[in-house]
Amino acid sequence: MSSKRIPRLGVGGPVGSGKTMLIERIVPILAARGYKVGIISNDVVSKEDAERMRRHLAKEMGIVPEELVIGVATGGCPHTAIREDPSMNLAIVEELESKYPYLDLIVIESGGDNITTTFSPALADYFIYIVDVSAGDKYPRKRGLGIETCDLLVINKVDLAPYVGADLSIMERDARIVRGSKPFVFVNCKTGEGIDKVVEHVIRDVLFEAPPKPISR
Amino acid sequence: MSASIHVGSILGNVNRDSMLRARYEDMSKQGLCETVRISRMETERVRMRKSTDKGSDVIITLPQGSRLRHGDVIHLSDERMIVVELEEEDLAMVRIRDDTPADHAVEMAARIGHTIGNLHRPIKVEDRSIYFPIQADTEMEMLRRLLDPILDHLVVEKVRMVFEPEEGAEVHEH
Repeated sequence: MSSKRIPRLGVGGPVGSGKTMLIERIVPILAARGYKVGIISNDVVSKEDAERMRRHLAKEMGIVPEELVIGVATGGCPHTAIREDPSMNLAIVEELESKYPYLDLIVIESGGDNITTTFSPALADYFIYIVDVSAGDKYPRKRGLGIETCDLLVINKVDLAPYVGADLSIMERDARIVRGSKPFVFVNCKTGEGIDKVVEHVIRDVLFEAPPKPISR
Repeated sequence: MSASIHVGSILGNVNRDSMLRARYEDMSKQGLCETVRISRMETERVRMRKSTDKGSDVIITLPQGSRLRHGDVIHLSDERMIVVELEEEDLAMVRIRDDTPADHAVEMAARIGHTIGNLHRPIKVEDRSIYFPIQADTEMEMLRRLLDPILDHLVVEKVRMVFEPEEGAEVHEH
């Protein structure tokens, strides 16, 4: 039943790169445009990220119902839960699809992982990979499946570049070489800089610019 | 701005259906064919937005579990045919030399399988050659080291081509 299928956005990246904060930034913008979003947050041993998003997006901002932020503790090798055996995540996606058919988008956050993280195409329709400027401007050049194959590369914490001796023009040049015509954006999740560009990609390439579904709860 | 083309199903494959092949060749000559290029990972996607080589906007929503193949036709009208094309990839090719005695060949095959299995890669076996994707040229050097005990009996080369793996084997690529 493809009509019931809800578009799915995967967000992956190394530990501390800003995955959770990116989601906390894009969801309010989508919500302001009327899109209803569910969130599945994978973490290795805790459910801290899910709890933080629930507190922030549900309790403080009131834009996502609490039951629509779901935490998964994957254990071990976190990319296995989003690629090799995404069955646990798929079961939650299917549950969301049947319980909350009015959702416009499901965001799936991976646990912090290594540079070869990718999402199973059975789980995510679109894959954002996020890296952090402070990990060094060599990052895009060093490649890795995530950086090379993701649909959108997000380079976060641009404000830290001067403090860590990172040259954004090098990162830009290397991202172009490694990714060809595939897009990348520089952002600062702390201030919100560049986030609108991420949202534009999501609305165009994941939601296909469809209007929000009518509310029928 | 031209309207988007909506794709809801795979209509056939120009490499598997001779009628469609003939139509493809005919329409190609008239300049009516367009291609959508996708990566191997995207073959399993059921929802994506792509541009053709001529810049047409294509919105693809396929039934769950669909798998796109190289040569699939996803849009067909009198004016236009849109065909899926897989990106070429860098692959390692390993072949046991033809002059290897049969009892040795079993040992070779087991060792090669064990080595590739440890790298968690999908494979394709065709015309006595084993193919699997590599991410960097440096992997060829590593592969030759790993296969060193039997390297005299092997042809090991890097090739670049479309790779459609054997289906049904889940792998762990990292």
